Amino acid sequence: MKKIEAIGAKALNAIAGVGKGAWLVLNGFILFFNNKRNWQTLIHQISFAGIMSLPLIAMSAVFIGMVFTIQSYWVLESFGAASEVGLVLGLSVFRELGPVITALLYTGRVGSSITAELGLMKTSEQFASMELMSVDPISRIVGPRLVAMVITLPLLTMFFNWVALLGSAFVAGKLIGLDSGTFWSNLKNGILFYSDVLPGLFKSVIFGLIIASVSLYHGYFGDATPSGVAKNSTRTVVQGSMLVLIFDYILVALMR
Amino acid sequence: MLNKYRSSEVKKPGPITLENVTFSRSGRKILDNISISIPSGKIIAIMGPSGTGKSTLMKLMTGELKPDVGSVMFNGKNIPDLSSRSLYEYRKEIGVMLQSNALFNELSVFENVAFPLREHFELKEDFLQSLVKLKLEKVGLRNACDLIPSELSGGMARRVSLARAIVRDPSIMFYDEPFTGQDPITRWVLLELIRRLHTTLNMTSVLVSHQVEMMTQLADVVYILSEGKIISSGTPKAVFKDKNPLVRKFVDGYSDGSKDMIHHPGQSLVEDLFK
Repeated sequence: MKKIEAIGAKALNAIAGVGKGAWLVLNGFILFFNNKRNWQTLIHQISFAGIMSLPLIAMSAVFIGMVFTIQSYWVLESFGAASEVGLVLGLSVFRELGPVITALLYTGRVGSSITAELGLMKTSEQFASMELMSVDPISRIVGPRLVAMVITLPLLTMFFNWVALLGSAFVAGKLIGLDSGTFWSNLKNGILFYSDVLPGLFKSVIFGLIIASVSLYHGYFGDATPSGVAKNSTRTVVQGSMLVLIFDYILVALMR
Repeated sequence: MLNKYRSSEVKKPGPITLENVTFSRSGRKILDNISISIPSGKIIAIMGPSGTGKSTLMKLMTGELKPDVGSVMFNGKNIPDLSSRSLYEYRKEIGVMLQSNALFNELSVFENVAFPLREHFELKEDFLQSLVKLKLEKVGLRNACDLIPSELSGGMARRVSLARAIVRDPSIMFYDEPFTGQDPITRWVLLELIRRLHTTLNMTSVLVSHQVEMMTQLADVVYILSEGKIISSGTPKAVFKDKNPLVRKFVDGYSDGSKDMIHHPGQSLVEDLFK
């Protein structure tokens, strides 16, 4: 009986958590526009979440593009379709690899960092002191981070896509010896903006919202203790990654 | 300029009055039916041993906590009943120096002090610079304005926190354990600073502290809390001579060997181990 009660309590907590997270995100978004100074903070956050993520995204994209090209080439060659490597890679990157892998990397780098930052601010009573100075931390802290995350993830996804293609083109042209003209023309003719590129970018906007919600929720409402901050950063990475994969399936199924 | 934001209703700050306030946390009564008045223009000390609810009492006055029962009145309004917006308006009247200082780690000393001004006023940069530097001068840290919080000593961080709390010229200033963790010299520096600011800025000052010696020098009125109740109140001279055994224990700093002094309420050791 106690076990059932415990399961029930956990389920209720989870539902309450979703409600609190939704309330936080909604308020963060609305209150962002209440303060002119938030635009300055937004630029700073875009720099942290976007520009400073570029090296990680570039390195990951170039190697994923290169590995995927070799793997695809080995399979396609056995069917006599080696020239389609570019098209296969392009479809995979624009539709799936780009949005999903960028979101997973982003959860690890940006999501966990924002959870830890907010957790430490809470631990050192910075939220309390802002409230006592009549400054709303949801407007000044949560709002700009939320908007920055929703903006930067799609931009990083676009960046990932193009760097992955460049990595692929390098392996296909220079190492495998495929004709680079064929590679690019197959890519150009086979990839359609509305059916291949746009759905991927739409997914990345949703993923940005999911990662922002999870990381801000755990940072803002999490335990204000050193171990609490550490656990909440881990929770952000685990829950953020799981939700990205689950919503990827749901979105693909719905958009088909 | 700074008076511009003050609403017409709160031109002259009245006293804060707590009536029959009870506050519990996790089923434990922290404050039990407390009634006190914070008169305008005075230095009030709320004292007592650790864990008796001093900071909780202060948080009720700043609107961070709401009582289970009772009222916390300021200028005819019950603080716990205020909407978020009205509570923010009320907080524009007060300054709070938290025990942890709560400085913003990424901002310099100057920007920490300038923060409330930048948030609430559209000031020209040169005017803001002058205003902040004048406040930093008051706490002796004008030349440390480019340092960041991690480069400050405990005493310096406390003074930055103080400068930030007074930058909007509050009518009521709250200090949560301002002397805790400070060396004797810094304690006296802070004491002089608090006294000087109180006089020059014509404020009401509320201090939460357990430093008997400091409060003898500083406070006009002292309240002593024990087990969630006010056990003595009046001028420091009168209160610190009170013959109430609980007051004597606190003021003279002795233990009669009673376990109640240090043990959290609950079941006895025998019950815990053998039941």
